[in-house]
Amino acid sequence: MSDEDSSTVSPPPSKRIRLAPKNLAPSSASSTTPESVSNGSKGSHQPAVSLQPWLSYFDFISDDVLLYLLSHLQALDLCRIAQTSERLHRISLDPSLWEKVVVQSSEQPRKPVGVRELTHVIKQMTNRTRSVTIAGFLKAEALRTNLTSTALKLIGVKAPHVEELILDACVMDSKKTPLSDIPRTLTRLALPNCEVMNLPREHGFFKGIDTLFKSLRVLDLTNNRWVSNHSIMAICKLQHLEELNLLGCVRIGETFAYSALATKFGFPKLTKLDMRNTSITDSEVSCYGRLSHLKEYLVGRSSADMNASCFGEGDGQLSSRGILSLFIQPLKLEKLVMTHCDLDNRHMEVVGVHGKNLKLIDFRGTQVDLDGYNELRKHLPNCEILYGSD
Amino acid sequence: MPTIKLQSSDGEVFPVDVEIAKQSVTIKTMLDDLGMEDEEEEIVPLPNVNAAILKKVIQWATYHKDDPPAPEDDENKEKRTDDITSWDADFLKVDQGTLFELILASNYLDIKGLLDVTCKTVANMIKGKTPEEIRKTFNIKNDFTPSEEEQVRKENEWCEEK
Repeated sequence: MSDEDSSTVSPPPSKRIRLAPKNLAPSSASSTTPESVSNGSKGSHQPAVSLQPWLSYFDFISDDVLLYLLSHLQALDLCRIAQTSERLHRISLDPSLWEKVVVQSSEQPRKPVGVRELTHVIKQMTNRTRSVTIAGFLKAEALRTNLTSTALKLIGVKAPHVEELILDACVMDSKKTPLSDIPRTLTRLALPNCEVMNLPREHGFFKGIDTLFKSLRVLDLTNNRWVSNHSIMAICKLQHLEELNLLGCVRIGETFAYSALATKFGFPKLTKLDMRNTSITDSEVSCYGRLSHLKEYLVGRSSADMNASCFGEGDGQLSSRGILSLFIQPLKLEKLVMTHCDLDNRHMEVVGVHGKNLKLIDFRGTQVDLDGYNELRKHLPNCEILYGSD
Repeated sequence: MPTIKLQSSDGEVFPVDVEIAKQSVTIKTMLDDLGMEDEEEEIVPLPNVNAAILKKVIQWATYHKDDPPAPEDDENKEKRTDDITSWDADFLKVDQGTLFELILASNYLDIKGLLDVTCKTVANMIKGKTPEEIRKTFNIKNDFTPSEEEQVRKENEWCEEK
C-alpha cells in the first residue's frame, strides 16, 4: 500500500482487508515457481513475482486475506493445512473459522469420517461455535458407529453455545449413545438419513426429549425409517418446537389414537410440519392440519417414484376423502403441499371455499389440471397455485 | 458511455467504461468522493497492480458487468467452492503466480466477486490433500520447531490414516 504516494488521485486504501507486502517486484524470470495451476493451457502472462526456493505465494498475501481464503475450507481440510507451517497453523485456529463447522470428507466419493479425525475437529471448536454439521457418510461402512458418546459429549464441552447440530447419515447405538449425550443448548437438531441401532423396545429413541432440549425449535428427522409412533408422543411435548420434518419416516402413521392425543395436547407452537412419505392415514391428516399455530403443512408424496412399495408398513396412500377432511371447515393454513395425492378438479371448490388463508397451494402430481386451476382461482385470487407434473 | 483511464504500476494506461471500473469499490468510492465530471480526463494510478494483471481484472469485470450485485449478508451462508462458472474456471486457468496476484489485486481494488472466485480456486487446490501434498503444491516451508512439529504430529495422527 503506497501511503507515501502523493499523486493527485490515489485510490483510498482498501477498508476491509490489508495487504502485507509493500511491493510486488515485477520480474519476468521465474525459475522456481511451485506446481502450476494451469493444466496444459498456458496462460499468456508471465508470473510477475519471482519466487525464491523457500517462498510460497501464500507469503505475499496478508493474514486477513489468508483468513478469508481459509474461510472457504471445511474442517478437515483446515486441520490439514494447519500442519504445514507455523503461520498457517496460527491462522487456521482463528475462532471465526470455527463458528460454523462442517465435517465431511472432501474426497469423491465421500469417505466415512473416522472417530479420531472427528475428535480432533471437535477439539478445535470454541465458545463461538454455533453450528456443527457432521456429514458422516457413516453408512458407507456397514453400520459402524463412528459417532461415539465421547464425541457428542465433547461437542457440548468445547462448544458450550452450540445452537445447531446436523448429523447427516450418521449411525448411533442407542445403548452406547443415548439422546442425553447431545448438547442441550440446541435450538435446531437434524438427524437426516441416520440409523439408530439397539432401539429400546418399550419406548422410542426420543423419550425425554422435551426435558433434555427445552429450547429446541426445529427438529428434522428426514428419511429415518426407524422413527416410531412412540416418538411422536415424546416430540409433541417440546414446548417451543416450531418446525418438525418427518419426511420419509415411513413408520409414522396408522395410529389414530396417538395422532389424536399428540395434536390435542401437544405441539403447542408448531408452525411447519412435513408429513410427506409417511404412513399417515385419512383419519390422521386433519388432526395435524388443524393444529392451532400451523401455517405450513406438507402431505402426500415428494415424488411419483414414492409409491406404495416404498413403505414398510401400511400402503402409505391417502385418499381424497382424507385430504378433503382438512376442508370441512375454514382452514388456517397459509401453505399447503399435497403433491402426488388422489385429488382432481372436482375437489377444487371445497378447497377454494375453506382455504381462504392459503397463500400457496401445491397440487403437482395430482389429476388437477387447468380447469381445476381456474375453478380454484375464482375462490383464491391471490394464492400461488402449482399444478401439473413436477 | 463515459470512460476513465486506469494506469498500471508499470505505466500502461487502460481506458475503461466507468460502469465497468465501478465494480471496484475502491475506484467507485474514489470517483464518488471526487465527484468526477464527465469531461474530465483523469488518470487513476493503481500502484499495486501491473499491466498484465490489470488487463485480466478488466477482462473479468467486463464479462461480469451485468451481474446482479452480490448479496451483502451472506455471513451465515455455507461457503461453497463448487459453484465456479465455466467461464470463470477457464479465465482462471493461469499459473499460480497470476492467480495469487489476482487475489491481491481484487482485494486492493475491492472487487468481491473476483476475490471470491480466486479464493475458491485456491481452496479447491487445497481440498482433499495431505499436509505434505499441500506444502508441495504451494511451496510452503515447514518452519515448525522440532518440538512444535512433534506436538502437531501427535494431535493429527489421524491424517496418516488416509
